[in-house]
Amino acid sequence: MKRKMTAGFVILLALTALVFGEAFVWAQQTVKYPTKAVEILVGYGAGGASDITARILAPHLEKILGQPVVVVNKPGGGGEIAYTMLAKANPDGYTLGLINSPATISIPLSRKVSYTMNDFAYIGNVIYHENLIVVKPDSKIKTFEDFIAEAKAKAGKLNVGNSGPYADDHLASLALQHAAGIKVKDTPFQGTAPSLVSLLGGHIDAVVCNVADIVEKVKQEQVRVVFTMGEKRNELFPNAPTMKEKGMNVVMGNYTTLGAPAKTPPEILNKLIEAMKQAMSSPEFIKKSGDAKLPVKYFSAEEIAKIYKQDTTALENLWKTLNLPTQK
Amino acid sequence: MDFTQNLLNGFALAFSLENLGICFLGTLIGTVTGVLPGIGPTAAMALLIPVSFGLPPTASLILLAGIYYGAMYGGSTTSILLNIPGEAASVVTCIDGYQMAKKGKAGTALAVAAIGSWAAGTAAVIGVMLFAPPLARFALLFGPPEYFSIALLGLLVLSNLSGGSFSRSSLAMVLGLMLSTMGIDLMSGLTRFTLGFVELSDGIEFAPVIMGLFGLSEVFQVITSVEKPSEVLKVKFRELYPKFRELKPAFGAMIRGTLIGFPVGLLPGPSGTLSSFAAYRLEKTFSKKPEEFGTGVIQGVAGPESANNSATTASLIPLFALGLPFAPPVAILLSGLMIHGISPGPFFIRDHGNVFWTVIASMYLGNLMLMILNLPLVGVFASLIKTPPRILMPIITALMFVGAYSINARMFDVVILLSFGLFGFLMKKCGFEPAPLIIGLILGKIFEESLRQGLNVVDGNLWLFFSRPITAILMCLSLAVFLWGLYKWHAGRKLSRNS
Repeated sequence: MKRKMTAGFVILLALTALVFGEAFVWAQQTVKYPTKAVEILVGYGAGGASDITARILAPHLEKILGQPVVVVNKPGGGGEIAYTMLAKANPDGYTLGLINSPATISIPLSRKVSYTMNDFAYIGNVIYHENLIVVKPDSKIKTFEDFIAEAKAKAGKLNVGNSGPYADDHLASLALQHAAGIKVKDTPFQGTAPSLVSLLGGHIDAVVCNVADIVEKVKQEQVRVVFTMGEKRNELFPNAPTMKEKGMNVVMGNYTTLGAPAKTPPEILNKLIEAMKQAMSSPEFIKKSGDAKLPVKYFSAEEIAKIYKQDTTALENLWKTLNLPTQK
Repeated sequence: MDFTQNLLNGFALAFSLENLGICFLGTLIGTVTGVLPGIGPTAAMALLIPVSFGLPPTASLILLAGIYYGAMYGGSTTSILLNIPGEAASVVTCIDGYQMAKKGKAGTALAVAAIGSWAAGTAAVIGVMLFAPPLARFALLFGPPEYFSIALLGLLVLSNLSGGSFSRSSLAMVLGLMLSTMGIDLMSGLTRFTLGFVELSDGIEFAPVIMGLFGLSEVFQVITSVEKPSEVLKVKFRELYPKFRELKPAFGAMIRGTLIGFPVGLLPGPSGTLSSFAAYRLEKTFSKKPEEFGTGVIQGVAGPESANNSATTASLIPLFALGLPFAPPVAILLSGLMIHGISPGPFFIRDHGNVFWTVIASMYLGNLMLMILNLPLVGVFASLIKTPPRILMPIITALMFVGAYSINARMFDVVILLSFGLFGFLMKKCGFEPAPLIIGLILGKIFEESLRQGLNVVDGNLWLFFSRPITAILMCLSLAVFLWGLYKWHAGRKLSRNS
């Protein structure tokens, strides 16, 4: 009995020391980070655009942080599994993850999930590319005006393929229809590739997708860009106007951002933000991501936080005005 | 002459020590992923994408393609020996392959699978080399309405694959269709029938279901069988190797399998799996003794195993000629190329001729390597059946558990494996075959997706499907198959009533 009590006392003492020791370290602000491998959660399967982004970024972060940076694929629920894991992860800086707009924002709008956008802190944006409309090169839709006229002439039967129901591309199409006062027939596919197959075969009239999906296809003259939904014209397609030029305030695109759980201590977060800035400006990273045709675009943590806030409001409004399906 | 020159150039490059080594490594990894249940070629290729960063573009394509077609060789091994499909494309090989093994003919079955795979793989590479661009244009003629009519025909033709009661196999198939509706709804983006599990939101995972229905249920069967469980086939090692005389009837099946597999490979989705089912059906139709299928007929192994290799290779055509992947593993091949700044498409052969021809040459070599690799292993693998069940069964159970877990690194899939193992066991006890359920599950996704997309394309009017020539022909064929089935069923009932 006595022995047990002694043992208990010793354990208590050790625990106290541990707790105070920890507090002492905090007080001194000398967090040693990282001391072990850092994980990046990716909500999509290996080989996809998000996965490749993470895998190209990881070795550069690794070099700066001095610890292994491991990409972990947790596909499922259109990214929901990974977003939830990131939101609930221990905020110690050892679990990071890729967040996407609009996917991360739109999932909670359409169904009940156990994370909110407030669960994330941002480290830096890696990818941005705007939405655009492509057609077959021989299509009679040549200009933005043609597209609108054709949509009106076909009275809701102009067939526009997208990469999945209420995913980024479909949302872009809905925003476009709302702003232009037209109605098209949205046909969802499982990803952009099968929708392009149907477009090339002449089974549908147009496809709404992102820049990186079709850069090469445009060069190979398999598809033609009609217009984009960017802030300004994309230098890759100088002849394609933006919707803004046409007097419609529709700016839609796809962001991929490195994030962490919201409660990550600021000193760790700052260290990561610094590392990210450095990694993305390194010539090697620029070369590697250029080879892989990734539409790399750096936004700082504050900039991207602002963008995500705007996007959240815009998507919430879209859901409300168009009465999009929800399951709650 | 240009053509010969290009191919010879390709061979010269493929014969470099580095490329040969990479090709061997790829095919070896492919065989291993094929043999191991659970992890399939898609996962294996994805795992090696980071490795391919450091390789030159040609080498990385050789490596990834090697895994892809190599997996089709290994897949049959566990199907034949243990009744566990190494990957989905070898499900149908279980039916006759496992029966052959039970009769002590495992060696013959394994050898015919390896030879058939080689012959079909090589023939398909010739097809890719000669006809890639026109075939890709042909593939584009097929839109959602056409896919739907193919899926419908597939369901009707393949549902009663393993014979037996029509109503039972239809019931199992419908159950498979129902299981395929789990997950995110294609049109609304909302989740349905997920029972609240986020793990089910992308639909139920194929591999654990297949392993459960075939492999684990077989383990339960062995455990509960009244016969002495320690009974082991007494076969001499030399008898495990096949004799030429036994292989002879398989050659026709190999050719038919190759021919049917190739066009199926041009369809999107799980073409390897579909082609093997179609080839099995074809063999049964062509056979003079269709009633013997299911008891260990060599054509039932040769046809499907040739077909899935032919389809796998053919599925590279849309990638090379259009830059568009039609199946998940091909999508990984595409990212492997994109990382190196190479985008396949109409100008691929013109702009990156060296890459294309070297890869083609490496595929000839790889297929040869795979046969040479697999044939000597036939005896080694086949001697597995001499292991007493009390040792073998726990090992394969553990392998399946690890396999199911490794797909998404989650226990949920192990629970699926267990549930379907139990369910498959009960199915067999009640006289139901698991194969029709798998058909329903695999075709269900394409069936629903293409119907709903197709209806969008033709403005919601199903009759407009008949205004498209390919769809009209396929739909009429489906109708004929259905009416013929109805007639036979009716005739059968009359017959049984009279007797």
